[in-house]
Amino acid sequence: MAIVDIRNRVDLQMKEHSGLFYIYMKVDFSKTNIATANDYRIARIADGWLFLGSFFRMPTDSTSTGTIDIGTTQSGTDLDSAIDVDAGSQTSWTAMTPTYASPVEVAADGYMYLEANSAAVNDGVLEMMFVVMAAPNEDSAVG
Amino acid sequence: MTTYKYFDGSIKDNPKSQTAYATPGDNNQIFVRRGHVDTTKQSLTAATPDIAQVIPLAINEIVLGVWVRVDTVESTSNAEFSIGFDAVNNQFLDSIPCTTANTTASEFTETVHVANNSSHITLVPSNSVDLDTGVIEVCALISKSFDSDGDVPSPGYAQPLS
Repeated sequence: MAIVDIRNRVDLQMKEHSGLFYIYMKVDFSKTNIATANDYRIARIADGWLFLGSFFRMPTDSTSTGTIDIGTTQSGTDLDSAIDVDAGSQTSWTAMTPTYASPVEVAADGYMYLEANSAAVNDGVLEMMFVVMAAPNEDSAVG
Repeated sequence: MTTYKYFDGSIKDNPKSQTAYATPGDNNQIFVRRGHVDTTKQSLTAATPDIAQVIPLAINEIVLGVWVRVDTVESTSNAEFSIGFDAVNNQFLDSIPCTTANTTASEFTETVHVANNSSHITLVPSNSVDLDTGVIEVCALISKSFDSDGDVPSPGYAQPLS
């Protein structure tokens, strides 16, 4: 699938504390549509970082009946897969369900991705929050 | 080490105050909070069921992992318990047998990380067996989130995009 870089449309905020990075991202699908034909880069992170905790919520759900994947690989499935985007408004954070036992190591290309599985997502707001530990001797850039 | 009080036992019954611990301290960004449920002091009824508030959580805290172990066994065969957030239907670790004691930390049962929008990590009896003879220890790895006044970041932490 083609890769589409939407990092400049993602609200990303980060706080560092004692080697731990707290990353918050928000994607407004009404402004940034997600099609099934592409994989969408939402952030650049560092190879080797460890995800200690991954959470999401959709304060505004979508009218799409599809699901999305979130991950550090282009397929976007290692942090969570098949998140239902029309499950209703969720103001509470929900833990993602990683493919592997936590912590999840970031894949080699150093990007985070969103992927629409079964239908385009053209509205709704997705928020994500990650607790990440920086691995030694790695690039610490995030963006 | 920070020592604080928490309520052990049923939410609806008279709670018994016990001591729980956090290390290296609640003022740190990430810490471990640990508590015990002594069912000899506050029995937990399975039929209702009673909900024991084991570890308190602040609004800006997120739970990265939870471990449990049985310090003292329940005498009733097939006794089990579940761990969750606040309400009985919000469990993330189900049906843990408590008729065999675990004596070392390595025998804690790890769960996947869980998010907090709740006031407590709770423990409830399961498998229709009342808990009244055992002692169960619960240990949680907790991190503060972005701000002290909520669980979402506030302006000021934004980073430039590359």
